[in-house]
Amino acid sequence: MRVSYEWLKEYVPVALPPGALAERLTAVGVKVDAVRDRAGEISNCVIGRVVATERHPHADRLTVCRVIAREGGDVLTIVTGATNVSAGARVPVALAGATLPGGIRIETTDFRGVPSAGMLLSAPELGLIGVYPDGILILPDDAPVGEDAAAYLGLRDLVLELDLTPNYAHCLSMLGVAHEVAALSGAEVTWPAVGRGAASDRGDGRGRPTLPGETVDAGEAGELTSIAIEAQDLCRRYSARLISGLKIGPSPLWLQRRLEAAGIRPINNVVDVTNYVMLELGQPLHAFDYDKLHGRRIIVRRARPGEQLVTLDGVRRDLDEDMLVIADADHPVGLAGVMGGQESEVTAGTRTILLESAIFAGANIRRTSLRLGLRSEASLRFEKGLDPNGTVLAADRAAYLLEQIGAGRAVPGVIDVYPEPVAPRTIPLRLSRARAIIGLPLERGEVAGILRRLAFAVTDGSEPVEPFRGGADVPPAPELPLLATVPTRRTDIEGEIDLVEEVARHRGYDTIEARPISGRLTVGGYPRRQVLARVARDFLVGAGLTEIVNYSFTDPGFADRLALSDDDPRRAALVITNPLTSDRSLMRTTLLDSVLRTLAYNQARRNMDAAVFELRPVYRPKQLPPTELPDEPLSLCIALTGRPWPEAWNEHPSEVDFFSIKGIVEGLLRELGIAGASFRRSAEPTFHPGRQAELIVAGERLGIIGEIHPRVQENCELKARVVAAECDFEALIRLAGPRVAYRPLARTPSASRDLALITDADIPAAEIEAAIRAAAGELLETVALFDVYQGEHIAAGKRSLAFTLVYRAADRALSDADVESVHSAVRRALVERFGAELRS
Amino acid sequence: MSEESASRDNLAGMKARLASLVAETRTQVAGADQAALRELRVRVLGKKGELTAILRGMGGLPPAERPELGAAANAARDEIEHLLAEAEQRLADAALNARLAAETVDVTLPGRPLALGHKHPLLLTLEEIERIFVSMGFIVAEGPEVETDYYNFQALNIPKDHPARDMQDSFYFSEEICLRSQTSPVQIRTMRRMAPELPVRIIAPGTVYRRDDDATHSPMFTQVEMLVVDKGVTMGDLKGTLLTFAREFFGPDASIRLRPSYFPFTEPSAEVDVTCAICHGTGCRVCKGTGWLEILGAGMVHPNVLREGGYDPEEVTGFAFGLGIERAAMLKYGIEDMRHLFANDMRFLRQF
Repeated sequence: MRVSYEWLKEYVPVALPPGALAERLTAVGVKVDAVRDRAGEISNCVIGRVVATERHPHADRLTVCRVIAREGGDVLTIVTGATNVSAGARVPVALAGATLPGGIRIETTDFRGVPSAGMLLSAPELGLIGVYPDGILILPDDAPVGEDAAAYLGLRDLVLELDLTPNYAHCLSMLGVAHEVAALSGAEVTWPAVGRGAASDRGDGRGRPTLPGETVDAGEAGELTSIAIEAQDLCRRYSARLISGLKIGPSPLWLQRRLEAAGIRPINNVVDVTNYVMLELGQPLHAFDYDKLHGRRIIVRRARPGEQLVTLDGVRRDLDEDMLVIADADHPVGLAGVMGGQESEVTAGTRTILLESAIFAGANIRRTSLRLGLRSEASLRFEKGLDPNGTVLAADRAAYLLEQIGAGRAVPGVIDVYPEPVAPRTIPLRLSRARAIIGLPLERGEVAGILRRLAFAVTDGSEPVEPFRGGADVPPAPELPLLATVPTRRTDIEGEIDLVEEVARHRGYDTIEARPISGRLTVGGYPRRQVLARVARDFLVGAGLTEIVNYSFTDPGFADRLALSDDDPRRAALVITNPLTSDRSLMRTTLLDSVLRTLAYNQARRNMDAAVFELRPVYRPKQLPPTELPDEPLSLCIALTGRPWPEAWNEHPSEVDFFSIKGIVEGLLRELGIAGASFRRSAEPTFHPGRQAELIVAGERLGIIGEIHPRVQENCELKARVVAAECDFEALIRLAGPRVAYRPLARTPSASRDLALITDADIPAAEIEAAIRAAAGELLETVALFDVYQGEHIAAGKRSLAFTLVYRAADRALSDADVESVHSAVRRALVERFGAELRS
Repeated sequence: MSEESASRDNLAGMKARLASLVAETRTQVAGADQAALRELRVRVLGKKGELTAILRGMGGLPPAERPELGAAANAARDEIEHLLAEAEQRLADAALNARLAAETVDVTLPGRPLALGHKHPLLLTLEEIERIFVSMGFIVAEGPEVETDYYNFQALNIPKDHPARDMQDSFYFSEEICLRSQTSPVQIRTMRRMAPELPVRIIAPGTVYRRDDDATHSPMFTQVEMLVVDKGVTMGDLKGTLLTFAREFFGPDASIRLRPSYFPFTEPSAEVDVTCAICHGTGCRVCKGTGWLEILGAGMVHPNVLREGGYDPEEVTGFAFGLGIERAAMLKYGIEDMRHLFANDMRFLRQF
């Protein structure tokens, strides 16, 4: 909503300058985004009078004008290309050095040998968007020569641009804003003129909302047309007036300029007046060409199956029973509150109009306008709620204005169908509650005063009521509430809490003192899931990895990029029914695809080395489409590529491989206190068939690690090898135990023996290690692999492994014989089980 | 031969010989290397050395003079030992110094780098905010990202077809299941879990989604929801809590300003500004010259929401806020473009 400062003053005295007014309004919740000077860029443009014109000596299409820009001043020579200028015309003139909207600067310019001391201006050049004849803007004959043209055209005005929250529908009108301004200053609001004798006239020629129960005389209009509301649940009230003898044409300048100030393009006198009244009172109006209404009557009803309507924009629309239409005797002539029909549109030939001023159900208008993508200033106002008692006022005001500007004659009488009149609501307000919510020791008189300034009628209740018990100090006895009667234009005020808010915002949020939080002491903390996620993140960052955050969305191609098998459950992803783009239309079931694409993104930017992790939820639907909420387990994805560890002048790190990622996962498991993990060869198509393993803990598969398959690497546009892991972090949370399991330091000496053996190369090292442990029994304290060798001196298909074994008994020093005995048993076991050839 | 000469000597003569042995040693240690010192020690102090040779003459002295010679000999031995030790120390020092000189490095060469990882700025910001509230006795709560329309809207006082639905355009999976567009549903879930227990003090961080994508809006972003329900909490407590948070997060000079606003789930509602973290209130480009930054929305929990959460709005009051983490992170670190936060460019992430 754009509020012209000058226009606003018509309804309420404004003592504050625009900037200060904007601040005060913002402080009470009517947020002013900006104060814009409409003529801010216009300077040095005056009203001039053309005293003579002559053809340019060297250019047929140019006219040389002699212009005075000041009575008694010099005669200036100004060249124009326009053809509508003749001697005597008063026109806006940009003098040399003038500036115009858009930062345009006018200087003395030579037009083929004739120097022009400025420029005659058209309406668009002054930033006017209305309907004006082509060519130079010809001003009335009484326009004062020499005066500032912008001021004369009403452009020296400041416009307050409001950014209103959805509950501030009452400020979607000049009068609504005027009421807020009046509440600030305590001034009276001046209602607009409707002419003496109008149904909404309150004796002074000015209109007011009519009272519920007040009957309105249909008069002559009632003999010419009739109105029926069939869908009463969707149309609370329908008021109409007829205007006859119409001469459709442009509106007067003042009216056009006000619409322009509000950002609405003037069209013709009828449309302009309906828009003007909507801006003024908030009530949208629609004009039907009366002569095109079959049966000369209006029926408000739901559309019938199969009905169609060509709307004003020329589009033929299929209607259904959810849509409210305005119909004549035969067929729909408009989509109620959304858009009129083309057939009944006001045209240059229209002689009589039926002016509609109605209240439609907001939710229905909202649904229809959203479905059709037809949201307008009018539909927004219907959605948010209108004063049901303001329809007659709006119709009267429009009729009055149309007469005033000479557009036509208002047919006496208002046809008004209002089956269930809405009376102003009276709401009790307890001082105890206002105090308990706002936190100020408010006095009764102050609260009543604020509400009265907002035009609420306030009285003292006569029946004591229970005080509010949620406050710190509950009054001991029942209290007498204030009774506030709410004007029906304030559709946002429904209950006591709404009154409390009115009091708070007009009392001023800045008057509320900040108090440190009080009450019972509580212990803060994190859920276990978060605690362990932090442990993992801290560990991984400490290990040199960088955390990434990707969108939770993915595209339908992810599963094929990862070469997931057809029955892989990760293919079942939630589908967004209204995605922004198709590449963000699914919810991730795995993090791997996004992480790989992050690496590809970086490789494409010459970041060839990266060690990253992402710890975020994946979304596992229980059924598709979902009828219940999906699982959202946290997943942990780690990926390494290139040489991510820092290179020094004296050390060159090697490229990451399978064992880099395995080491990180093993370290993380240790950090989370998860023991007994093993890695088993696996066969996921995403990974290199020879370089992948499942992570198994307590018989449960918790994740996979490995080198990305070259085809997947290619699918993801990766330029270099990647090793990656993805783990079910929820399972890690479940299994996580204490990280520290302290044991007293050993008091007995240990004995260590190395053992090197050659076996078939395909026997897993872990199996050999397990066999060593089994054979050595409890005297073996640790076993550690320290060398793996294949190549020269080792037969093909064989490899050499070397372990260090440390033996210790808790209760005695082991003798050489003790150690020899157990170590021999180990050696024998390896020979028997694997056919190992022992090298030491 | 020496025995003969010793026997010839009297006490004075023998003392003179001791003195000259010391003097000779003193001369010889100067300039001696390790080997020469070892040799000198054997020659002078060894079993067959010169000192022993002198002492052998002691038997020729009258018994009364022997103690005096003994004392002189001990003094000479101590002196010689000292001379030798001193020389050895000198040599050892020289050798060590030579080695140290040879081991000199260019201290300006770079150190051996450690692999340093980086937390994502969003998580850094979130952890900081959580830390502040946990220290104030708040519990961190969670809720699902895929939500029902009921929890995301209806329970929060936003019925279907309500104009307030325009404030946030949501992604849907079905008529009733959507991506949450705010963390406020966690308010309802937490209250239902806790009611009628008091006080409720939670902070709920989480990912939320809206159908927006431009320079200042991301379809996925992060919010933190704060909720307090108790007896006797007022807008004054809300302001106090916000002020404490603002000073912890933005610095001790920060102040806050509340402006009336509208959220369907709070009433009264407020838009909260904090002193611009960049210019400290003097006005700059980031705060568009106002000295204030709009950082969060807050208010007193709407009675309908308390009721949905299982609390009697006649018995308790509550306050809540919702804060956008992306904006907070951008202000905290001076990040100029929200898109950096989700692009995962290593050059960006490695700065945190």
